Amino acid sequence: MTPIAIGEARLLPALACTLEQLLLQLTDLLRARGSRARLAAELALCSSRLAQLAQFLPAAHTVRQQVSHVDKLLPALLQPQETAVQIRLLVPLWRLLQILPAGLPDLAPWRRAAAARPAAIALMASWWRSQQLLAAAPFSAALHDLMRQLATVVRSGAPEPAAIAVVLRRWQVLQTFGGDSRQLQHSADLLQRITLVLLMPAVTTAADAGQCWLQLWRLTQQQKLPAGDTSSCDDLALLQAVQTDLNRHRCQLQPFLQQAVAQPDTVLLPQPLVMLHYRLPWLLQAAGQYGLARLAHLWQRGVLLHWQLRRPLTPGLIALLAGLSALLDMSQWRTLAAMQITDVLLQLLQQWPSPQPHGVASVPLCIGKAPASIPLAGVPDLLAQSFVVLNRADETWFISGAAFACHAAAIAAELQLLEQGAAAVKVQAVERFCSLLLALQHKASQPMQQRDFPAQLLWRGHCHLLELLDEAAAWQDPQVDPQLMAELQTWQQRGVHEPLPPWSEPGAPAGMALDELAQRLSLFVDKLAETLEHPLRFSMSIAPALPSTLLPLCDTCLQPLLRFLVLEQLQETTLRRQAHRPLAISLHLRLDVGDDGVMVELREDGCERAPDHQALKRLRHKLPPSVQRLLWRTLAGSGRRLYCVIGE
Amino acid sequence: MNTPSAVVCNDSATLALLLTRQLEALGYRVRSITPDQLLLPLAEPPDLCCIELLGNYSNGFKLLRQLRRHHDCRCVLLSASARRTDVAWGRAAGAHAVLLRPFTVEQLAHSAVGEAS
Repeated sequence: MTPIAIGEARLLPALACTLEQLLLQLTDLLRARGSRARLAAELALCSSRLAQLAQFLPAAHTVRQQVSHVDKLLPALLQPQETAVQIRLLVPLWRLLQILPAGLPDLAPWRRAAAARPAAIALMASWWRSQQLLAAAPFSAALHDLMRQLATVVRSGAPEPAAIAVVLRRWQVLQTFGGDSRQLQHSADLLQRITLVLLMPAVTTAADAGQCWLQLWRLTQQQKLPAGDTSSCDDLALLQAVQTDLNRHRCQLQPFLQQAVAQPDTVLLPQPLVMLHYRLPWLLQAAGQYGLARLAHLWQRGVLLHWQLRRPLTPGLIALLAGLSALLDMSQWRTLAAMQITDVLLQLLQQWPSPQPHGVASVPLCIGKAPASIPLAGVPDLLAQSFVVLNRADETWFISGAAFACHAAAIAAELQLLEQGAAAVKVQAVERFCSLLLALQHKASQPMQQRDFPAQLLWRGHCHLLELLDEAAAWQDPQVDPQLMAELQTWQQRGVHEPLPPWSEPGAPAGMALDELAQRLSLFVDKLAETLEHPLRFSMSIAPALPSTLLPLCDTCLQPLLRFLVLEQLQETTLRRQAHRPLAISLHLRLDVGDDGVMVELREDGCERAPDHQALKRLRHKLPPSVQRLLWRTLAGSGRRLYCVIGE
Repeated sequence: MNTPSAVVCNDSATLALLLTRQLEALGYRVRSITPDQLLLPLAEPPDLCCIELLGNYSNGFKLLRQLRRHHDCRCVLLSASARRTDVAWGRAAGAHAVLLRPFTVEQLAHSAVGEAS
């Protein structure tokens, strides 16, 4: 078939357009983004379209010959290769770019970049995406445009690492075309510093930040940049210490890297390794490696974010981590260029994890008696400032029931705040231990013989709580001592397996009968908690004037009521978790004397929803007829309340 | 006047060396110890103890509590994490001062003697 004659002037732009698509796919492939099979299919499509277009050129046309080479080499390009091999395979692509006529001005920067840099294809593709930048505009105008973009990002308040990476990547590419190699190094160095000023203001001094912006201003005015930081340190003792620390760092990192390479996308960074990265920037800074120190600062923050979000490291990040580990070898430092560091830094920013889409902006916490709405991110700071009593407590506070009674309320208030805070930030070990301590301390506050008071257990529990808080404050995973936990639980559940005691004989003093009611109801709730394996907190206030004849009736009526409320709340555990509320269910019972019998108020703090009609119907079936005038009230911020009257 | 003594507890050779030099420049006689050594009472109680908050396998808050059980010296926590929580919890746990990196020798001097910087 004879090819239809198409003018070269129309054909070459079409070729260039297809080549653009091919390069974009190739970039994604080289950066391991997306499915390899899908990218390979799309690349093959682009390549065959290129070949089809080239068919319209004369057989001896150099463009047609190069397209033919590209088409043949493409299958090899799709295979995982060493970078050097990949670059060799890319040669026909570069040649193709070189020979496309100068009549296509947009391609000019591509050609220069391809000649100058090994990672040129990736750069060229990102360049192409922002093709409005350079082709027609002079260098300085493009630079000004970039600075405007950077200022916009800064003005946005909380600059997104990925957005910064896009602007800075353009800057880097722009420098590739506009500056000499010396200027390029200085520019790369400035770029690293600005990244740190923007994203980690806490680790840069105000003077350093000011100097950065001054240099940036000079750059836009087309002034030569001054020499950047020198990377030399001739302090042998210090270098030896740095080498020791860096070698240890690499040794600790190596097993994780091996595992991560074997199981990409699944492996989570362990907490000791996260901690290990805190000191890395300071070690590198001590050795005079300011560029690497900046990279390590950013890397440490990225690693921390992944760990906090419980996200596994992507293959791209694992490769970066391996690269960073290699850069910690001091023998590499002589040949290390600022451009190389900047390249890794920008790749890191591009792979920055996005914030959690379903993050809760604020959580309800009760500070003192008033419920408040606290931003989730501010909870750790709030907690760190709030535990004055817990930190001040000493052993004498727990030595006897009387001594403990003086501090019990203050301790309980801080423990409740801690329980809520730990639930909000999902430190479950602390939350559960707190719930247990609250239950234990509540039980220890009941009247008992001094010999029964668990002085040692309370003190050990308190010390262990502080240990857990120290671990949580250092972002370590708090590890509850299982033996102590078992001891605390055993004491807290004392008597729970015994049957409810029988009522005392008629004619017993009223005070004793009231105590009996309180004891029976507490025991009933403890049994319920044990059966359901769920923390329950129960407190009571009973009017002393309650007629003793009604007390057994109260006991009979309140038990199904309490069971109903607990089971109702238990169904909402998931909702409570989603709302960052504690797991423990908290109930308060108040009994007063009324005209028609005993007035009951049952308060639940964690639930603000009235039971539905069906649930209420079931409850009425279970309650004796002596329970009358059942009424619900829900109060925003302070839970729900149930009112009823128990009368004969 | 006796030369004041200081103890540096840091499991990083580099950071311990840098801190030792800074404290020596401030006129302290400095000993460097490991976190394990801080778990027991020190034979020579120092005037000042500088503890790294986030060690490789140690927890500066716990070490601080341990130290304060045995000695009544001035305690400074050093943090590489730049978190406000470190300052708040460090003070709650009994530190006289918490220094966030990067800090200057002047800031270290102020923390060592208890002046507001």
